[in-house]
Amino acid sequence: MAALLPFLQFMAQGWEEGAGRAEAQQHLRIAMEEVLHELLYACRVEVDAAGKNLTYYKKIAGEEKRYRLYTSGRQLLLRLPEGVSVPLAACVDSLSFAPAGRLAAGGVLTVALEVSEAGQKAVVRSAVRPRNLSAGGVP
Amino acid sequence: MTCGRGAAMLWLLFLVALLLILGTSLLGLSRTELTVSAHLLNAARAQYAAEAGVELAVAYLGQSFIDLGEEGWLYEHAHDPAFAVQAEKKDNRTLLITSVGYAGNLAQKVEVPATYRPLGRQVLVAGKLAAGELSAEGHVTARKVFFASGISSIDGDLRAERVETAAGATYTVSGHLCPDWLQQSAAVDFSALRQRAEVENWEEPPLSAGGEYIMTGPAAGPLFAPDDAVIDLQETADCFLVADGDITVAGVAPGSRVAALAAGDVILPPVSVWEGSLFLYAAGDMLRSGEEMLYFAGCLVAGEMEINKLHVRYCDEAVWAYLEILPKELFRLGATFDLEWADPEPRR
Repeated sequence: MAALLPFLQFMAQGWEEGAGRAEAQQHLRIAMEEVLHELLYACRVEVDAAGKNLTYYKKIAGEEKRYRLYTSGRQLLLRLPEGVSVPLAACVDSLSFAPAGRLAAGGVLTVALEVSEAGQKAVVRSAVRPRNLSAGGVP
Repeated sequence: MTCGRGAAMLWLLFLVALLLILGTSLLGLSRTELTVSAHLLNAARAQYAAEAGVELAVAYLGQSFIDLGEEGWLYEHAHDPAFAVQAEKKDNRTLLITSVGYAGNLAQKVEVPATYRPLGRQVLVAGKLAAGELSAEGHVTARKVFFASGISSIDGDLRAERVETAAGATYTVSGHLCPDWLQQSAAVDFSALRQRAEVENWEEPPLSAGGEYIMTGPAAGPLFAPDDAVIDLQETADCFLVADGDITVAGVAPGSRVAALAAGDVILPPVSVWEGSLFLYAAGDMLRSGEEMLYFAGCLVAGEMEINKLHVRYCDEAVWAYLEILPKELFRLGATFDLEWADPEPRR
């Protein structure tokens, strides 16, 4: 039994690491899916110079509504047109968008997201081409 | 000994039955997984097939939207990707494209409102374009482009076979830099316009003291100037003018919508702001020189363009106002639709 104890401790540590990694990856998947889904139907996308905050607009019932994606602490937040912010994902270490500035029609936006949970890090990079962008920013 | 052999047989049968149950369960699970995967795959394929239908409608109807009747347009594609697409005219600007894609035994429906853009969000279209300090909010299309001086920016695509830059001149393009310059000819048939003006009895603008036809205010219908003409609006007006010579654009009253076609050249105004919507076509050259930047909204089409200090933002209001009268050749310049893809699962 005494010989088995270190082995069990090692197993438990492995289990915790695996669970942390799985948790981090789940957070990452949820966050990325939410971000990409939101941006797919945007009609205007603007990224700040640092590439950390993204403002996008969606047409709802013929009216352009403004949304903003940003991080606060370790939370990924979405600011709604009504002025309230809702959390999209937790455990976020960093979020970045490229290119900076207003996205041109047909342009592709790259999103990079890094999350960590229980010492386990997960990084993912994806891209989206918003479908409702207009050339020249003309509505 | 005999009893012992019988027990082994029973154990064996029990083991075989257990393996059979296990195998059948695994097989069932695999089949369920396979069905779920096939369903997901077919749903995605059907969705993309439906989207292919929308793209086909956009490509086809861009050229024929003007002639589309109340009955709309329907097309079925039986082979992979299988889809049925129909377009229904909601008004003279918008279509509702409904496309159903098929894959396996699944069907996915997509409905997309589409707004017609008769000039395809192009602000400048020319055979040759020489530009200095150009700022364009929309696409620029030309066979040859020469950036002559200053900093030019295009907030859209630059579609050109050849792009050259003079020493010290720079340019930026926010969209795509495409070498596929428009192959279609958009040369307007002025003899047909002359005939039409005669048959439909279009009025002539009044003659100025300088012997030029001059347009200063609203007109009841389209105007035809048999020689050079000047547009110098003193009050807000919607006008359509065809000149069998050059057109000089001078003053404008805010809120005007002007569409003008010249068989000769077009000279753009020296004023700094032209408020309103302007569509100009020149069979010859289009020229703009001036010390101040000229700001206006509209689109310009010409054989050759030599423009300096111009800020143009895409606007097709003037084109819309005279869509029925404008020569159809112009809509071969890359007419398209703005699609408004709706979120099938709006979350917030």
